[in-house]
Amino acid sequence: MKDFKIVFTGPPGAGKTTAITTLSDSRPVVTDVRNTDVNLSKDNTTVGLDFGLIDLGNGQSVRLFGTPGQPRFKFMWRVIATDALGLVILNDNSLPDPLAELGIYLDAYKDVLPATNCVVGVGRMAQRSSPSIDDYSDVLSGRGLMVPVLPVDVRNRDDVLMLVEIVLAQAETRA
Amino acid sequence: MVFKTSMSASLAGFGLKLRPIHLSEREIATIDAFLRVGRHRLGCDWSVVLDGPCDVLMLGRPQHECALAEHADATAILPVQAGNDGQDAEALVRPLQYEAFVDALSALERTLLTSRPPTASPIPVATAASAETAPAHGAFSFGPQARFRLRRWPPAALLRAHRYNIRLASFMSGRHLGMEELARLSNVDKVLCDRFLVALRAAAILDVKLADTAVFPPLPAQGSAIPLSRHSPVEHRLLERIRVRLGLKGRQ
Amino acid sequence: MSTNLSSLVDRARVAADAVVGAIGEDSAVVISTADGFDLAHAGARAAEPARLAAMMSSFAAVGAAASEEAAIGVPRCLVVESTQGRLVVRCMQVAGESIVTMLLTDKSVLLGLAWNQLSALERTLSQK
Repeated sequence: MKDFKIVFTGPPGAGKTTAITTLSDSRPVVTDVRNTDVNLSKDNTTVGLDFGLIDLGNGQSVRLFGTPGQPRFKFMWRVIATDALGLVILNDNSLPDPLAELGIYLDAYKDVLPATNCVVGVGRMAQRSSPSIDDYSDVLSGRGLMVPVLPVDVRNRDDVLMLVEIVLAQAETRA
Repeated sequence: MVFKTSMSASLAGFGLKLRPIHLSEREIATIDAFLRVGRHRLGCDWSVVLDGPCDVLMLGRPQHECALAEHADATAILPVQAGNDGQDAEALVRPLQYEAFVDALSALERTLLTSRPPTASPIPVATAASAETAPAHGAFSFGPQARFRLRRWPPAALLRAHRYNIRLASFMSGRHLGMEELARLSNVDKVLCDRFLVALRAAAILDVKLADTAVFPPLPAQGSAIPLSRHSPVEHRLLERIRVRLGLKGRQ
Repeated sequence: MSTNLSSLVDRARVAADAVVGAIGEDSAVVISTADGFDLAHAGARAAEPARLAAMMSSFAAVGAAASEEAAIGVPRCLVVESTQGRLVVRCMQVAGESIVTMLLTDKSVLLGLAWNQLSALERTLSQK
């Protein structure tokens, strides 16, 4: 039986671990350690990967992977994303330059994005409404990418499900 | 720019002729340039002709000022006027603008290539802006051969206009789909699909192509992009099971 | 960087040099924080210590997750046995900080020697 995976990536604090925890049937694997980077205002940070599971029955499952967010772990991004059904890029709109942060991940995956089921979820828009979702769309369009982008709150299961639903819709049209 | 789509073999036979009259040489050169640049956005092969029969006559003077013979052998007329003329709300305004020009030709393609036969007298032109009226009696705004894909993700306001719009946009982000396929995949009523498509066209973010009755295959990956997954395309049944498991099946 | 880590850097450098001195110039040592920043390194083969530090921290974190999953406690050591060498990764607690140390050797070095040296390094770092 073949399993499939959906990968959540994006900058630290964007909500990758939370999103996977929201969806996973069982307690997810988390590789968080104490953060020593003074430039990152988080107590802990993911250094390995996050892992969750959605059990479909009949021995099949959808595996949920989260990448570590910080660029020094970039080597993990493509390793984890290999053979993924879809890629969810989560961003944090409260960061100093959210569009530049998005660009880091668009660059990291640029050779695969045009042919990959992908969606961008932007969090914390209630804290900071600019850049707007349309600004994100402009950035993606400017790179020649037709990638859906939505505001999300990853603590809200329906929001995370919407991201997954978009990935599934794209997968269906490529099937 | 956004989509480097190539013309499918089924569109090669759809050549349309555009004849400009009472336009300056500079305007004609502009039209040439617009057609060259906008080729990927138009479904048909457009060519500029300077005499003889044509499909679309671009008329640089009010029609009543022109001799009948000048426009008798055109199927459709696309007026061009100065901005302050106020004579024809559906005319292109000088100086010619690329987006308005391409949108007008896109709308004309739909009109010219549906079942309506060519007539001796010119038919009214429907520009993109004026094509948003709801379809009557089950008819839709696009011909049955039309296939649709997004050029870019729609503006947030457009997506908010109806709760199904995000779902529809998601299906249209991957490849060109016909109305039947879009309605089936999304489980959204065709009338709502049509309304969304019209709104996308008005926002100039709808890429429309025409296909023959054969099954329209998915477009290949753009450029040299390699998918993340080396697996064969995901089975529909598995996707359905994922949807059911997540409670996405039948979500409103 | 915390005060503890700052005070650790000099000792880490000395300790790394000592291990390379004991094993041989073909070896390399990288000492890093648990979140992947290198504190010290020694040996010519540690060509890109920052990258190795990040990788080893990921390796150690996944090892810790697997240990927890298997309910076998916390990891002490992970080994990558490759065709042309060996990586031995030791997870340590020093002055309240989680530290990950990587020793790179060729296959001629006994695994027991490598463990021995890393244990000595941990004792050195823990000394006040």
